[in-house]
Amino acid sequence: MRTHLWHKTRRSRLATGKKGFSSIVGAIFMVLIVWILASSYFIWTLSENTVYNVAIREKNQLEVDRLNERLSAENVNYTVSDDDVSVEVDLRNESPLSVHITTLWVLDTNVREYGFNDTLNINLKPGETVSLIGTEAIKVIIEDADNNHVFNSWFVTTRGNAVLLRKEKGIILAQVSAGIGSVAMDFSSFKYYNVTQVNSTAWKLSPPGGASGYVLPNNASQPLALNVSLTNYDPAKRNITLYPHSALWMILPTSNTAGGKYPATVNWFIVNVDSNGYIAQSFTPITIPYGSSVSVIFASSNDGSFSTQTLAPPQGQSFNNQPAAVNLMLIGTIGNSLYGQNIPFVSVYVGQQY
Amino acid sequence: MQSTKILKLLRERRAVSAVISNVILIGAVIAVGFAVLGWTYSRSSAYMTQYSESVNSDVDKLRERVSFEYVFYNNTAKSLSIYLMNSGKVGNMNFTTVYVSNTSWVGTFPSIQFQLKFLNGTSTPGLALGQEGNFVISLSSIPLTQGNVYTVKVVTWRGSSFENTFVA
Repeated sequence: MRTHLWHKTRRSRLATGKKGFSSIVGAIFMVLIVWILASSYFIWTLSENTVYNVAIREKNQLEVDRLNERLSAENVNYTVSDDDVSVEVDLRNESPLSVHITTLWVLDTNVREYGFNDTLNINLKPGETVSLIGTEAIKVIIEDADNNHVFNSWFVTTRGNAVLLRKEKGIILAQVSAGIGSVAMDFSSFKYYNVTQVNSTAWKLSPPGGASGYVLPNNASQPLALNVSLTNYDPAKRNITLYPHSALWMILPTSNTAGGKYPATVNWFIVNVDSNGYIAQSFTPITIPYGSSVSVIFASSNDGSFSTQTLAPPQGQSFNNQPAAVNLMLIGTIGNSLYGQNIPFVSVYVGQQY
Repeated sequence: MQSTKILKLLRERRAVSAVISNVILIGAVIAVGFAVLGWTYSRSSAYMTQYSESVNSDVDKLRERVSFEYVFYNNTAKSLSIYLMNSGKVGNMNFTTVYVSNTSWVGTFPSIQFQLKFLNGTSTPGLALGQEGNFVISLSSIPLTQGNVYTVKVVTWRGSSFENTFVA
């Protein structure tokens, strides 16, 4: 009972007493102020650290992007006119990122002079290919540059990567002399085939693989076909398309001494042959892409539609044991231009006495 | 009644000195408190600004990147042409010092010995994002040996350094 009264009295004093109350309120306010200040400073510090961490992440991403940038620059060709070096190149973006090219640098290693073109603004999406040829070629000015000099060049991308230009296998001048133009022939693959009738409408080449074309059988009744492997080395890198008027023609001196020797000619027009050796009845133009080799068969006495052709001499004459000159007459288009070329390229021998 | 009470309070002189002293004391404490608060605030503010500048500086330094496009030594003029690009994520890039070295020698070139220019030849105090520039260093007093490999290091005003090797 006494204890109960004492507690009651104490509660009453606490409720009515004002001494020390302001100190408690002041202390609470002070703690609150300190807490707010400390929290705001802590949060501010955290935000500053976040900024720094974001910068580190950005830098890492930049490095990753830079390392992932892959660009191939192939089929490079340099053409020099005065001091202007034209660089033709096929570009392909092989990376999963877009690539922006800003500058091309070219170094003439012969004279140790260099030049650059920093006006490029080439954007390549992932997987995109761009051919900078012809009028699109990039021009760089290098003093004393010459067509016969050796050039090194590289692109610079916005991410700071340097992309070396890989020069294609050089074209040996002997392969494309002025007299031959844009086409080279593989002399080792010059062959002839016998043309045999499979049925009333189908004709086939035999034997498979053919035989050397440098010696032809003296058989006036055996239809023949001749195979030439042609490679397109057009300096302007255009495709060549051959039309049905293209022919292989031979100039054969006859062997009849009584009537005097005089040349005779035999033409084989171009034909289409499928992978099984069957000759198509009608002709579809054949395209030889730049830098590619295509086996072309000449077998028809007509242009455009197939009809057999034999090595038949004029009446009373013979081609036996005679050499003959072989020319190629190519008719068609090169790029978007008309094209025609006569190439004297091999000699053959008719008969057995080689 | 009310006015009589007020007059009585005004005429009362007991414990006045205690009230005045308390008022003065409270005023002094408040004044000192505000002064301390102001000083603390200014100090913390200065510290925050300094810290913020330091963080921003570090961030800019992180974002800095230089790509060497070409380094060419002209054996006739005995000069080194350095072509580079700002391939980072921050602009206003300038160079304070360039070092050219090999395994046994280091040449130091402060910024007063070279002039940063754009590729078109115009002088510039710095390179913005993606811009390309170059400068030429004269090495007439210490010519390089042709065919030897050297290292060139550029230091930016932010303190980043970038290296590249070249054949003289």
